Amino acid sequence: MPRKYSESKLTMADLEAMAKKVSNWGKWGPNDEIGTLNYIGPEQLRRAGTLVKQGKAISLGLDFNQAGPQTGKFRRFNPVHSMLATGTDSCAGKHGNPNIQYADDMVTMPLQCGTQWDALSHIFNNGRMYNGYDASNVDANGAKKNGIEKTKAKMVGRGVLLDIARWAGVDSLDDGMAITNADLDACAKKQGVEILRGDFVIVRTGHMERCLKQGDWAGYSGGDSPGMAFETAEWAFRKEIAAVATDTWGAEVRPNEIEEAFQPWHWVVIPMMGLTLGEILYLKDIGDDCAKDGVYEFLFSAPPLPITGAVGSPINPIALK
Amino acid sequence: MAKGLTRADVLKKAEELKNWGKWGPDDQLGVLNYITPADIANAAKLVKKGKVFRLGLELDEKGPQRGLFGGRWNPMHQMLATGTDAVQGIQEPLVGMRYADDAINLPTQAATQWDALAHVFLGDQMWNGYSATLVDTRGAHKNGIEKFADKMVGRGVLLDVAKHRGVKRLPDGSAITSAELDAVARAEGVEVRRGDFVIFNTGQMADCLDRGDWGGYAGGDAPGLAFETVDWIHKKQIAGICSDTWGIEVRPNETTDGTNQPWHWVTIPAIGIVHGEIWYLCELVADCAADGVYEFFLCAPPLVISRGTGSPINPQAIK
Repeated sequence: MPRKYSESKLTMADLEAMAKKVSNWGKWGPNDEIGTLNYIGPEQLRRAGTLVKQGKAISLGLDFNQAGPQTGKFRRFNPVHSMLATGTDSCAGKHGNPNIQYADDMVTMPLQCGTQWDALSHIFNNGRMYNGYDASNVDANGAKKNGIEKTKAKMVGRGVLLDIARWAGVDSLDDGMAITNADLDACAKKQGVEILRGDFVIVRTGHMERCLKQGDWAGYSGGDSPGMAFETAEWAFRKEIAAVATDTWGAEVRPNEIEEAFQPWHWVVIPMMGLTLGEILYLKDIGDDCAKDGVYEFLFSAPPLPITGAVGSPINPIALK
Repeated sequence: MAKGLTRADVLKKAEELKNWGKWGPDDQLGVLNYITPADIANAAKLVKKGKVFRLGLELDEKGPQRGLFGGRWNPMHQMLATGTDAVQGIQEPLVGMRYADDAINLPTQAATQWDALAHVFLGDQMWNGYSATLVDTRGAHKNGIEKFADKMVGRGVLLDVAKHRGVKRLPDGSAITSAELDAVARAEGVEVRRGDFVIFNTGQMADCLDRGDWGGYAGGDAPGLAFETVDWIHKKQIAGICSDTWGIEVRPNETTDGTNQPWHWVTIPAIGIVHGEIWYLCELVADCAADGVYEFFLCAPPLVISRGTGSPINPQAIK
């Protein structure tokens, strides 16, 4: 069962050791920019396609609107949706030339304000990002290496839901509860599903649903949270999975297990392992559905917007069963 | 139908093809209702090679917008945190954390996108008879893009009109008729079925990209569907119509009285069909020509923008 974040007693030396242990730098050549997404090949895709049996699509995207989880912390805000043309204007005869009657709109958003992928250029370790590229490759013009556009045809494969909250018998794990390697294995076993190379592993903690239910995001964005224990970096490395995605703001447990490092798991999985990370996924519907039919694997498609040089992308992941 | 259409012809055709009420008075999905679970399951069987094609144009300042229509601009991508700042230690005090972060500002229809059913009106009404005034400053209270969150999945069919004509691209102003769509499908050995997402290639975008000049791509003259294809779309009961052009229909428009984008007046508000526009088809077109397989699994989820009238997308064709 998930344990408290404070039980692991980790130090910066542990972080450095883990960084070395799970490094994939050079594994796919010196020019690689997609990391563990390389584990998904034609065979994985064909197999994923066979998982669509009921013809059912489930969205794992939180609605993008002003009621989102952002508070201004880290200079992130909720999406600002503004109209460029409206039906009220149209009915008031304001659409003259051209005379098509229409509505149009725009959106301004931090790319990681809601359901999103982190690009491999999002986090640095000792001034470097995934595959050894210098962090200075990410400047005011965006990411010249490891940008999200490199993954534009890569975010498709087999998805597996590990419903840790249900397995633990709670609506939501408490803040500060860390999900360990043993928890991931036990949950998969209980659900009767095997984690395979190239999988998108989706971990449900219930945190988002707790916030939605209470009508208050509280500390969801950047505050305390349940999440992955630091040691799961090794699990993800060993299993050769393509990605981890969760229903929390930052995937890993908060408070963090290493005091001297903000989000220490991030320091290791993104820049060293090259693991794709999905955050703020809406997992209520997929959780309910999997609990009902007992099928925890599906075709997963979560294409990023191919924003040139971006270090993340808003997404609407789709699970197909 | 040749050139010489009037507003009266357009309104008459819209009345004739109206699907309002067909799926009940509360429907906000239109012809997406044609897609059944069996269609989705069968479409997934088209994943044979295990190959993914992205159909989204890259979003950046080099996009096609030039302000010709509606004051739209290309995406503006701005950094909130950079690696240059990080290596110099100029970041917020997050105990050692070094990161990059960014934001975007874009019209939802700046590049590869879906139109929501709230995008175009017929008189003072939109799809299923809802009042157009339900799209106000706060967005679309009916027929918004968020209704499609889990709907843009099914069988995709590519009709490569340019290849069929033996040209690199169709010239601007060249209209594609229903008969031609049927002929292309026949030549490709693919059948257009109820519930399909039909994607046709004119070669216009590839040509603009090759020349490094968008010219009048966004809102200017273009090849595209003839007005009379509204009958084909209605009869075939397809679920979506998509192309590599800005607005799908032929430009200059076939109307003589200044009725702008007449095909849109019928397709979106009357038939209730979504449009996928500015789709990047280059790699898919090449692959289909190579293996002769013009059908595939299509997954093109919109961003779930509450009350949006459209969404930027990166559609995935999987073969």
